[in-house]
Amino acid sequence: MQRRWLIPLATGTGAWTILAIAPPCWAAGGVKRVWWLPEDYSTTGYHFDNLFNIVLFETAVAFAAVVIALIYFVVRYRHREGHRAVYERGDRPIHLAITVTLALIVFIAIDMNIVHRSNVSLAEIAEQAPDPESAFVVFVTGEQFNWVITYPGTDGQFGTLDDIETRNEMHVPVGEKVLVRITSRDVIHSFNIPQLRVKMDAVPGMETRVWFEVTEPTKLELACAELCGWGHYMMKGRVVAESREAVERWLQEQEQFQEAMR
Amino acid sequence: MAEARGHHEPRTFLGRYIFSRDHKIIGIQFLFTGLFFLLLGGLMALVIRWQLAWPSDETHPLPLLAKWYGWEGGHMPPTFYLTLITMHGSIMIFFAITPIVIGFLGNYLIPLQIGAKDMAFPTLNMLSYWVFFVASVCMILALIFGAGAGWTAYPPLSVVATPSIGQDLWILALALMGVSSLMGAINYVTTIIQLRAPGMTWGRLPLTIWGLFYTAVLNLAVLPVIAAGLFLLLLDRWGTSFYIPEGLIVNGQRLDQGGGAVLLYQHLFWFFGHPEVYILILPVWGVVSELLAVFSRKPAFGYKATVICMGIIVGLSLIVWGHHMFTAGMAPMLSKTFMTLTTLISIPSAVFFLNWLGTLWKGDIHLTSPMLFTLGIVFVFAIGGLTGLFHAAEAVDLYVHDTYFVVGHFHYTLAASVLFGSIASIYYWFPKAFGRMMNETLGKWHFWLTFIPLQGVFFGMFIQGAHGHMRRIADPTLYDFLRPWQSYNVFITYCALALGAAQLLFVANFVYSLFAGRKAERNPWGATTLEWTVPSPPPHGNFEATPVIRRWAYDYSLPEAPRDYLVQTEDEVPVGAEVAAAQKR
Repeated sequence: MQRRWLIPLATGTGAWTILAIAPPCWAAGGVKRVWWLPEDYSTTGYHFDNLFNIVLFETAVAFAAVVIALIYFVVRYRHREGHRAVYERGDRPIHLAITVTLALIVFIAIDMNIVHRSNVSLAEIAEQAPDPESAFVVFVTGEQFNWVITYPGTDGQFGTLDDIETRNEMHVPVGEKVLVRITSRDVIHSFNIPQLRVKMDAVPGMETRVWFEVTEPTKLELACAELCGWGHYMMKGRVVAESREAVERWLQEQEQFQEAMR
Repeated sequence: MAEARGHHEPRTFLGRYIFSRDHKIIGIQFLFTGLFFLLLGGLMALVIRWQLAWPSDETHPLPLLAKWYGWEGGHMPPTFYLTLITMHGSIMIFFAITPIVIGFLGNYLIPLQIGAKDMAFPTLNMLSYWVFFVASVCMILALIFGAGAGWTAYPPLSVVATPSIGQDLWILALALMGVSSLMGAINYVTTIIQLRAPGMTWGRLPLTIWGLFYTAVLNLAVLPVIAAGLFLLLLDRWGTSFYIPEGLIVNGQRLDQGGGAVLLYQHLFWFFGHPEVYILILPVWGVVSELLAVFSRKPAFGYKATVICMGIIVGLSLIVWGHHMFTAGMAPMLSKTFMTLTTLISIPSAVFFLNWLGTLWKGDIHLTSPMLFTLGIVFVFAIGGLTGLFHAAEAVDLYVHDTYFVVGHFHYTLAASVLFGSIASIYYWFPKAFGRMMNETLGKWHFWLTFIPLQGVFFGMFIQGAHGHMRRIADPTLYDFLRPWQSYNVFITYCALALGAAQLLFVANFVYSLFAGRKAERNPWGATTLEWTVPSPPPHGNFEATPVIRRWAYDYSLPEAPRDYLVQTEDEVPVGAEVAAAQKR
């Protein structure tokens, strides 16, 4: 093998190792939050955080490589009197080899790596999705500028008289899978709870779904993530995760309140 | 390679400077209109930042505007904020950046760099500017009447929630802008294909021209789609229901429209909207490749690879739009396809960086102000491009979608990279366009005072976005989980104010140099392309005689040559020596 092939090969292998092998080892070590991601209260949020960290790592390596080369070249090859640049078009076979090597590294170590991990994570989340028949189901309808939260009531069916409807307050049980069916009655909204890593548009004329399981009792904010008009910023709901009994009790209160209003 | 359709040099002031068919004057008209809107859009950004930093803090009332409008507590109503973010986005993209990088660079440079007397269709060219002008008047009117659905104008919001005429005008402005760009694109493509001077083969074209060519091709492909989409939107506002599903209840009133599909608009919009960012950045990639070569005194590294990769990106850009819709309720299988295709864009982008760094390698780097901005682009586009991967990866995008992470990402690509590209081009081609040099010292100060605060503004947005900070919200302090990060909003606003103030240096430099700058000679930078062979500014008709092109665009530092560049028309080195040099390598 000729010597001039050694440099691209060695750099290629090195970059390969760093980009493809290091992040999984690192993610497996359970590094949960290196960036300023908010607290995660869900059982599935780690999928997002891990992939975020992996992409962050890979892009940071690539960025560092570009900036180091950029600064080094600008300092090293700055203009000096009597000095002349090298006439190099960069179109010889070795440059083609470097280009192809780079393309392959980017393709396999970055692109396919990310695509694969994202697909695996989302497939896992989809597989664990609760059964709509037996799960705790909430129906969320966006309207300018409120979240209408509907519970099926004692009969377990939506669209019946005993449905319980509240505004901007959603109580869900801890340690149970919650299925959220989402739609909108006017414009597009987006059901967004950052601390549960959940975001799904509320589209009029369509139903979308997400599910989550909260790990510990907490109070979170439900925000709208899709521009829905002048009041978009204040379309805010409260999510209370508490024990199943507390949720039942709260639902009963709501029901009594609703009866009294009738 | 036919002759340009000759038109006589106009004699009157009106014919020469206003209703001109001379590509150079039209280019400068685009430049000035674009700069006006750039300042306007920039001021809007500062007002937006002020609101985000001190949304309900009465000790920081909005300067001037609060008094002007008599707002209670000194703060803008949310409707005004909505109009502002809509207008900032649409003005910056369609009325500031587009006219500068496409209108100015395209019109000014294409004939000069390919050796033509003018564009293929000079009258169409004039029409393109004046349609653009009408569009910009519509846009200003929309600003006055108030349009508020974001620059993406998703229905049903854009149909139902803003009944004022402002939204109609906004849609009309964008549709007219599309017509203008389409006329420009037809002109660019025809001119580059038909009017190249003898010897100007495709392999000898400057990379700026390649970038502009691809941009025009992409414009031709996607503009008809958005034009159709916008007209349907306009019709929906007047009663049809292409995008309106059955049974919507707005403000307690049931709409009688029904049967449309909401997601249809998003598909049409992003089929145009995603290529649009490439439409804007392709000329900048060309400019970067070219300016790095000029100021490194070295051939553009990997010319062919750059050209091929630009072509690959043009192709890919047409089939990745779905990554804007991962949370929109699209079928999961589609999401996977779009994610895979989107990540592929990183490959040609990586090749650009290889070639840019390759050009610098063993060069003779002159740090002039256009070069500083060009190097700045390599830095900021690295950030902007790489953060694209976060959005390409569906699982990450589901979390960062519609947060400030996205805002940071597209501002690094558009506001930083494309803006730096515009500024670098202005510094570089100013002597050609106006016959005077811009002040170098001021230019360098301008670069550093722009570059540093810019990082504060847009990198801060990644940190906020990762924390879940939603975009387009008028008051982040309402949210408990965002309140600890409010000081970051203040920090970003201070950086933005510094960034805005630094642009005064540019305005001062521009105006001063226009009237009192040092006279520029024909070729002040020692560059190889054709525009530098004609007087500064070039006369009507550009070239005294049709130039004959004897070499490619980047013969810098050829060892046999007497000086470190050979202009494309030069034939001083005997052909034999060039062959010998090629063999020696």
